[in-house]
Amino acid sequence: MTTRTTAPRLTAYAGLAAFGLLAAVALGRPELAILAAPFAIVPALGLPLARPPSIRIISTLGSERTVEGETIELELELRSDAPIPHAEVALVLPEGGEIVDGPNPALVRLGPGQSVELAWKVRCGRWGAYALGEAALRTRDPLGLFVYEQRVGRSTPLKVYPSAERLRSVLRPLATQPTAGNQVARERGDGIEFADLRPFVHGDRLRRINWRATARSGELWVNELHPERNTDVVIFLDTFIEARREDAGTLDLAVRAAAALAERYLAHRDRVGLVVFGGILNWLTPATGIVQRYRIVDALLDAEIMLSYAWKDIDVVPRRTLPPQALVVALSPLLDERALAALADLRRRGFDVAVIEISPVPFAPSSHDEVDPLVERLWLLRRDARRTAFHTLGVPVVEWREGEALQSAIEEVAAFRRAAHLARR
Amino acid sequence: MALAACVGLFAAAGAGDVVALVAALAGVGTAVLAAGLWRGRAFVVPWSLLGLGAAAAVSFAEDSDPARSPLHAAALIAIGELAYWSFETRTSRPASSGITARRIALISGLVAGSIAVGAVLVSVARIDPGGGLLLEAAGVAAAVTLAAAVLALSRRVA
Repeated sequence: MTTRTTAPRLTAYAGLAAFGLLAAVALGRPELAILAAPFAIVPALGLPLARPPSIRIISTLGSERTVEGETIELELELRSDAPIPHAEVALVLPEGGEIVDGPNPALVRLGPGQSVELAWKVRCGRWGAYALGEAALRTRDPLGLFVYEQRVGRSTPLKVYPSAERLRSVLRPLATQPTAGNQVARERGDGIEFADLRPFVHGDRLRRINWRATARSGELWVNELHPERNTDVVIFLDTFIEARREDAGTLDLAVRAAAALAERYLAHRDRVGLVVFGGILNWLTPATGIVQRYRIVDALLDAEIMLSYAWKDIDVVPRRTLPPQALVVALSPLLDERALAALADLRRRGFDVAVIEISPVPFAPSSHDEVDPLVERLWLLRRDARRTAFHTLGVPVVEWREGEALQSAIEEVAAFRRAAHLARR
Repeated sequence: MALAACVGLFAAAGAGDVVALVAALAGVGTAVLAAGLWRGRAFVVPWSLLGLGAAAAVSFAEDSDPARSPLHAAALIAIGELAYWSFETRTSRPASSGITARRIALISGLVAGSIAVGAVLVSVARIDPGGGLLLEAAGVAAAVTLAAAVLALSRRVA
């Protein structure tokens, strides 16, 4: 819809012309009429020429997908049948988007039947789903007496994926699945990795005989091997509450970590699932491949904090989303009791659970500003108690702070699991 | 700004005994325009033009020959156009060629047209048609009709 407003020039010139002419008559001074005459000429010439503009705009987005922090090109083509001497085109930017290159607003002039192309480079600073391509258009008639404003162009969806940190290694699940993969299983069977030696029994294949051990002992010994299997990994994203400041929050960190973990596990041919556990429940059953990677990232883009007071436990998650012997990697700020109870419940049901705690401490107001130091200390102690409760259940909880490498948190979880394994022995 | 200062000086130069009043009016007009341009307030433009026009009118009172008034009128319209141009191009950057040239041509045309119309009006003003209430009434009616026509046109376009 086009809105039309009177330009300040029209009212100013009309007022000056009327004032000058009346003053000329009142004072009997023709010079005043001569001074006022040009201000009457401009509206008299301009008003018959004023017509609402008719502009067609085609917007073209360089790509439908990008990664946060990267730039994407957006082009707008403007075409008009009638001449438009003054058109200001301002790209409508979604929240979080910024223009890196290109004039905004841009001032263009369109001849009859002529088209003008404008190009911008846009950067989206945060992951999420955006809509780009709409522009605000402000045009003026030839003498600039009226201003016409309208929204033009069609918004094109743009998916901005989280920038995933490159991981050298990930957590190994305690148990593997029966299908082939890249993970060395703890069980013994047909594989490549050497596991142990055992005496030859009837039915063993000759190629598995360890001839050195056989020569030393004088009886037949065969090699036992670890097979390569895949694993099921479920990424558990706690979206009940987040700690946030203006530019970042725990959910942002959790989404980036989830994208990085999913990418790495899928590269290892593991099956990866996702449970977004919060005010809105969302899940993806474990699967493998590039399609699953896009599914997970798309599901992560929809992850948001939706305030809810309804109690939710793990029973609301479909059973096939959590296959037996799956590794559950939870990304949580450990702020909401419902998520904590669900994780503890998973552990009690025998799932292999590891918690990466997205620390809300850097996002909380510091004790020097607003919060009483005693309150802050109590809060931190309570968080320690929560971690200890998880440790008691055998669940590693590692704090990961903004600015730290995710890899270090993963190594810490792996170290905890190794220590727990040794303690069990 | 420079043109406004020149108009003020030009008006003061022909002011005769009332040079102080003309200089004060022109100074206020120029200062108001400067403040408006600096602060980005377009509503000051008519007030500035009014001040400069008043300075010119007072200076004309000393000299009954209206021959200088077309130049003043052309300068005033040029000041107004240049001031509004300044406001309009503050927020946006030109992305296609010919915008500046077209605007300069438009202002030049308006200035030339103003001088031409002013010259015609000067020659009309030199004709002595006598006087009387009827002529005064006709003048008032013409002024009111013009103002009404501008208003009616603007409403019709709306």
